[in-house]
Amino acid sequence: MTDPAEKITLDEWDHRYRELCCRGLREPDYGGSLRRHAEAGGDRRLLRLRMDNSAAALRLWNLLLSEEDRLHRARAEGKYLVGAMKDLGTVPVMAYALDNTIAFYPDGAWWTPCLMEHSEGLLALADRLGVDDSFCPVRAMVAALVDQKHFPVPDTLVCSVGATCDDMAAIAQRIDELGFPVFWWEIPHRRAAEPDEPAVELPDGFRAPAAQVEFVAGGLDRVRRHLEAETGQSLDDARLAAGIGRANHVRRLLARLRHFAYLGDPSPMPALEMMIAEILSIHFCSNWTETVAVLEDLLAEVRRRLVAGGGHGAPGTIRIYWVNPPADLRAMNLLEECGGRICGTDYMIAHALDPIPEDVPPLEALARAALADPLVGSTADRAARICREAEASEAEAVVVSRIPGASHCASEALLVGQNVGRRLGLPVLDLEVPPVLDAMEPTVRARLEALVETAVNRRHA
Amino acid sequence: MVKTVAYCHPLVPCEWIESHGLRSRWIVPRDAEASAGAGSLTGMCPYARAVVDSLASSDEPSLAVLTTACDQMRRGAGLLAEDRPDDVFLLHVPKTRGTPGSRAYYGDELRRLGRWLVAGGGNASTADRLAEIMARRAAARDAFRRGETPVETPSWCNPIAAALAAEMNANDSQGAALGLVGGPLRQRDLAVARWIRAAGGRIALDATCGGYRTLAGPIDPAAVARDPFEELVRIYFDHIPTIFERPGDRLYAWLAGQVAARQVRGLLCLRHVWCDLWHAALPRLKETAGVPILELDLGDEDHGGESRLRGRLEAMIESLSHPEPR
Repeated sequence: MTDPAEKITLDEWDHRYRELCCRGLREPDYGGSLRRHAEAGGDRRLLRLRMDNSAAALRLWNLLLSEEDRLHRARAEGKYLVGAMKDLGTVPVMAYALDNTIAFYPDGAWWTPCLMEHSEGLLALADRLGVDDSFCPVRAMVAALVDQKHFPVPDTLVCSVGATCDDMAAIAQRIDELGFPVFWWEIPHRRAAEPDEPAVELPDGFRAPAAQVEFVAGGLDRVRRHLEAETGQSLDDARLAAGIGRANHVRRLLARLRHFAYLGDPSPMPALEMMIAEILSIHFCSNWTETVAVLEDLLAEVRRRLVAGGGHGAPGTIRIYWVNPPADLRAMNLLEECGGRICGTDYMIAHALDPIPEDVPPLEALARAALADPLVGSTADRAARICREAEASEAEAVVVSRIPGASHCASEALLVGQNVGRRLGLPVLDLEVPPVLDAMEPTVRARLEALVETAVNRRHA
Repeated sequence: MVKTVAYCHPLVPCEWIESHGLRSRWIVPRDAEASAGAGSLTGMCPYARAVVDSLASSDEPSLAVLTTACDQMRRGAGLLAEDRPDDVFLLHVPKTRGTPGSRAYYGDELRRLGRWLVAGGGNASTADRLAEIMARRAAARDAFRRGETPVETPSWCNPIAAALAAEMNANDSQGAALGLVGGPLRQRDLAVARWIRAAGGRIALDATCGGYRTLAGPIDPAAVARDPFEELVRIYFDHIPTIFERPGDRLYAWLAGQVAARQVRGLLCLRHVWCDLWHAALPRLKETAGVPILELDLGDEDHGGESRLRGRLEAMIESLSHPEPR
């Protein structure tokens, strides 16, 4: 299917879906028209999004939007459900190494108010539970656990604390207090090694003291024993190594996809679909096999478009590096409508994209990966990685997407902006994106347009 | 000239700093609104912002120790380190409790702090010097616990908490006994004590960060003689109930015990705007403290908030001033 790349509305997808079916589209069991997610599932935001028109994108969206059904089915089948919180890419690697065990992030509920355009009432319920809008939208997860209308309550909740945002640490504690016991483990603030102190290289290229890696590995060993006790299975090194191998398979696929999608010109896959694809890395959307298949389809589609010289937007569109996931998915559409395209990202999951070391003991490898979390280190470290990647991807501007209420966002844009400005001289935009940005759309659009215009002028200066 | 090491968190042991031949000082920040720089950071806790501003604009050559106890302060340390990377030490205070790893990690962080202090101009600490300073500071804290007001500005607690204690000692009102709980107090926050007195109430408990709640525990002289560093870790890490530790039950149990022992009739949760940790703790505090709790947001007084805060406070004291039913 070599149709030209287009971004189409949900209405247009109805027609497109019929067309693909007539042409012999083969779908997995969660396949079907995207329309059903908006109508039966309540994901009304789809009506305001423009989505890629490929069969690969259809499969991606269906995998994403069918996750709650998949989790409920897993519960009905007697599978053990692990609710991992905050670490974004570590505990699920361990959980998926076990049989009949599914891991997911209740944190992911932070996008539910966006997808359902507040019709689900999660943020209002969070207010009543004492977690109001001074917290970041991840507060939706406390409400989702209480109202039980979204994902099933996990059999265990495992949360990393330490060098995390206060929002997450506070909300997870509230969850524990509301009768959902949390198993805590810790990732300390990543620091530089002292002179003569043994240090090891992390997957992101930074170095951390060996003592910190040992501390985190000790915490992960507690997690391992907890999972063993809960599931009645052994989680030995061989199993963990196999789990790491599976995670790395996904990460390698994503690395290729990001390489082609972000360097290709014109852009062979829109920002929105690429963001969702990246997010698959943290817990495989509760289905590792399908995640692999979805990524392979996307990769094949991107390659086809690159070979055919097709893609979205005109060649030479302004290249933007994007920092932090936006609370409203529509922001990614807006960026492209304003004349920009994504060339690199830090959606707070950079450590879930880097391959986990396979040449050291598994718990140490996972500890190294956890310590590579961009939010565990200093903002200056994070800015350094952003600069490195922005330069390599020939970015012409940087957007720091501010998450309303998030403790790390207060100073992040300033520090990232200073560093990017000093090292690369690129324009940086601090852009707050609420869960549903419609009321602010003129402002958000104007700011993005101004950024793109600045970058255009800079290109021609 | 002896260098000063500024800090503002109770898990930074002043004895440890002083045993390296340096002076310790708990930062009393000027209000961020009075200075520029980081003051423009939307969403930043006003206390963290004020600390960063005060340190950044200080003419005094000093070192600063900040902690990871809250994310805002951790990132504040990052802001400071942009210009003065060698003058700022970020101490990771473990959040998890009840694991051997976290306690040992805290000890290791103190040792790392010690090496940094030496590199910054201090002397290596000795067991004898540490023990001697611990005994002196413990005596001062014991006196403070007994109700004595420190004569000199203390380095072992928030000086504002000492000023608050003086106010508590001077207030002989028989009005409703209140407890304060929450984040660290700034100079301007003493206004709350004046409002309480004016409304006929009195403060019977200071459980703010840097006050009575977060004093290091009493020392065991035999343990100090045996291994002062290990005893230092015990009186700080094992003893002080904090808002950030996980699980968080210890703080609530401590507070409920203090409320009962001091016959506190109501609690004021003094929370700096954007402080997530205290804000999220409020529902649990309400469930466990056994008395009414009123939350006061500190940080927006300049925008017409003072009269609102004062009005809420007066209403609470009025409602608590009626005799309790038998």
